[in-house]
Amino acid sequence: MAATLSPEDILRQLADTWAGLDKEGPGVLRACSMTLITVAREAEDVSSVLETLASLMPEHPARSIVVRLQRGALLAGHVTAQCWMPFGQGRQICSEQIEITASPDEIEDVASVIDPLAAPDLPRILWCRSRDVFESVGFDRLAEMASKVVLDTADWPDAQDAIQGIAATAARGVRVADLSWTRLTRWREMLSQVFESRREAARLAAISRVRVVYGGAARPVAALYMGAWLTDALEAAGVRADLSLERDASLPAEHFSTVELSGGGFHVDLTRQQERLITTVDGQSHCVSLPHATDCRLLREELGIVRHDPVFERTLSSAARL
Amino acid sequence: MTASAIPRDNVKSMAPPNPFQDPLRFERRVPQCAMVIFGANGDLTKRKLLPALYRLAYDRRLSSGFAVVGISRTPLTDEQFREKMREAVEEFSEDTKFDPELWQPFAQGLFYLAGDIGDADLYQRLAQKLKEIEETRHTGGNVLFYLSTQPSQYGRAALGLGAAGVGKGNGWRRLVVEKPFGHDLASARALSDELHQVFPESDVYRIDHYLGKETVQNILAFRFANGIFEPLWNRRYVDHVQITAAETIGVEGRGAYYQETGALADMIQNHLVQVMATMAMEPSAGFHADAVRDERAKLLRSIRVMKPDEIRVDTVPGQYGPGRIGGEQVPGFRQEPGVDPESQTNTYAAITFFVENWRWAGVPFYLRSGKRLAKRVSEIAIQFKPAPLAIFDGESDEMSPNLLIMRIQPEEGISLKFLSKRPGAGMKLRPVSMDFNYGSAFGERSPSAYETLLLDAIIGDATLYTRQDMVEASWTVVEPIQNLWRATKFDFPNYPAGSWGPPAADEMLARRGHQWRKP
Repeated sequence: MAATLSPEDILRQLADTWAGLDKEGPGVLRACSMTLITVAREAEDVSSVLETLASLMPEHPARSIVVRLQRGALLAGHVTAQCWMPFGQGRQICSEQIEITASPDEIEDVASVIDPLAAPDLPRILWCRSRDVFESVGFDRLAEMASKVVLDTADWPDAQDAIQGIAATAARGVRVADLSWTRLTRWREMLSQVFESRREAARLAAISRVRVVYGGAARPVAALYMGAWLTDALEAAGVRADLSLERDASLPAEHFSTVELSGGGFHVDLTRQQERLITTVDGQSHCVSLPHATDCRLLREELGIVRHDPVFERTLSSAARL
Repeated sequence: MTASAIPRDNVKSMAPPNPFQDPLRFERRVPQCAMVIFGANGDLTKRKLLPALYRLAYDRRLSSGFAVVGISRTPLTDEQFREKMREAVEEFSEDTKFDPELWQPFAQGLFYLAGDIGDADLYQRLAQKLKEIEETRHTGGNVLFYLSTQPSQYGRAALGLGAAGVGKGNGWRRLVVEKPFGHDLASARALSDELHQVFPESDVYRIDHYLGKETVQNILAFRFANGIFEPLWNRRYVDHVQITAAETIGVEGRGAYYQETGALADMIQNHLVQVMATMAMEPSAGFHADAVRDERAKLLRSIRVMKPDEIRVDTVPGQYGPGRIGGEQVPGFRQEPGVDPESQTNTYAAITFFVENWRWAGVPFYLRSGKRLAKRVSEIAIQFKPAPLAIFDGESDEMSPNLLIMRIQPEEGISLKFLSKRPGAGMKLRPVSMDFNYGSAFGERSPSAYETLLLDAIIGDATLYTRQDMVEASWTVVEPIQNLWRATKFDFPNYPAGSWGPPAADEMLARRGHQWRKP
């Protein structure tokens, strides 16, 4: 017999949780700026997902709904509070966490539970961690109630298929983000900074070649995004350049190593060296830190953008044509 | 936009559009430039400027070729200067991890010139150094000059730069000036006249670090990005406004300097009056420097200039005497090193201002600032008028006015206090507070005021800087108070260290049926 889960019961549990916290004293502050819905599969390390969510809360306090898909699991839910005490302050800040377990074939039922549980009038972000969920029948139902869907195509086997799939979802009106794109922000920002200088900006027209080097056996989605973004940006400046996406077998899989723009004696490259990003312009180098892009760092950036993201949308559409 | 519509100060910095920009994700565009700090061996440079610049570099907010030329009289090599600045950054960067690997390339952009501000040769050497930096670090000829010296040197430094031709160059040249901007209206005008001989007003950035604080900036967002507050923001609903900047510390070894200024000139004339203008100004036509500053200036010009008999009742000077704070005995102002034992300097000032415009006519704005007060706190408290009719039994006993509090420091945030029914039978009311805490809603680190303001100056955004007409307008209202206070012998000290100020300040509010908040 299928189990049922009443959103009213969960909302009652939520109210009880807050009442309990209030009894602990006056020092509890409730914070909520969005509903963050996370869908995790059985095979995933849920404790690490919960840890990521906990570290996001101080910056993006949210009503967090974690859906754990487990084969054979009955639809069930319970409520906890995530609290933290900012340094030097006398008050705990708490946000709500609802955990729902369900069988993977119940995703559509889950959507009907989540909808009334979401915090009213605030954005709803769906963090869809697995390709299986993205490709499941119930995904559309989850996606249509979200203001934004965050995916991560880093380990999807076929980059072109991944981009086609995301582009098709975006074409249906779903606002999509891909953490493979988010991982490129620091690279893109450093490259952009080079052309803030009038001197370098004046040499843009000389660029005739763009080279993106990656490691691993398969071409990663990130390489396609980078190539598409670079050629788009150059075209916007009236510059046509040849793009080559090159594999370097000596690099580890999914390792994105070098971006190079050159032509007419002008040479700019960005190279990763462990946790450093080295920008070299005509032989002169500049180094900045490139910390490991954890899920927490990447989501922090994506949760800060709950609106139309024109650069990504343009890049996605161009990458789908590469 | 036609070329003629582009603000003049922006023309030089206009670069071709960068096709790689992604404003949604990238930080603001920062042009290449060099910064010249006069007074590079001083406290401000060590405690604030270098830690702020290092943090900006740490956050990748500065361009790769960014360079600093420090100028001071002490003979130092570039290496010695770099070492001193490294020590300063390590000691005074409160929430930034020192990373030796990031420091290394940043330090390569630090240079030093020893010399006297009055020596013409210094400026020739500076010109040469800037030329070298422009060539080797591709700064595009853009230079930000920062005067962190004695105020009496500002004019000489600006004229020295002008005489050596350094005030102009291939790129933009801007001048940042620290307060005080004169010690009265005439000296403020004289200072501006000197600076303008070399730098047009659009290139003069008078820094008021209070305006760089997140909550002060947030006043504009709060007022003009939300539709619900504006209808309440006027004499019809606001009973009065209190603006407080209270410090627990004394003069901290700066007694000799402080006794020449005092709380009125040091805090009220610049920081608090500017905060008041931000809180009370009319909405600007857009969020760009001149539009916002025009409105701030207009508000400042609307503050009623007090006559002597009004000054006697609507202002209160104070000076702290000895007292106990946290179980520790602390000296009075007159016992501080370097302070005249008969000093008449005000370490506390409370003023009642009125704004003569349609929005605020008749609403008192109470401003107070002092040293050695009970608590370190800066805030704006807007007290609203009571409901027109009390319909609940006993409501008048529990009457607690609606208050909107904007906390500037510490724990930046906004609170709204209102009455609510107590749970249970009957209609008993109690005040409750709805809090927005900047730290909890946005857990990310807020940039320091100097980071914000230095970056703004490099980018050419003067919105948070004080313009000449604003300085003159604030002196116009403060100078008569200063003159009368100087001509009067007060019975100082009139408040013990660790208290909330002189009793006369409480009486000043009580005359209008108000009382100071104890934040």
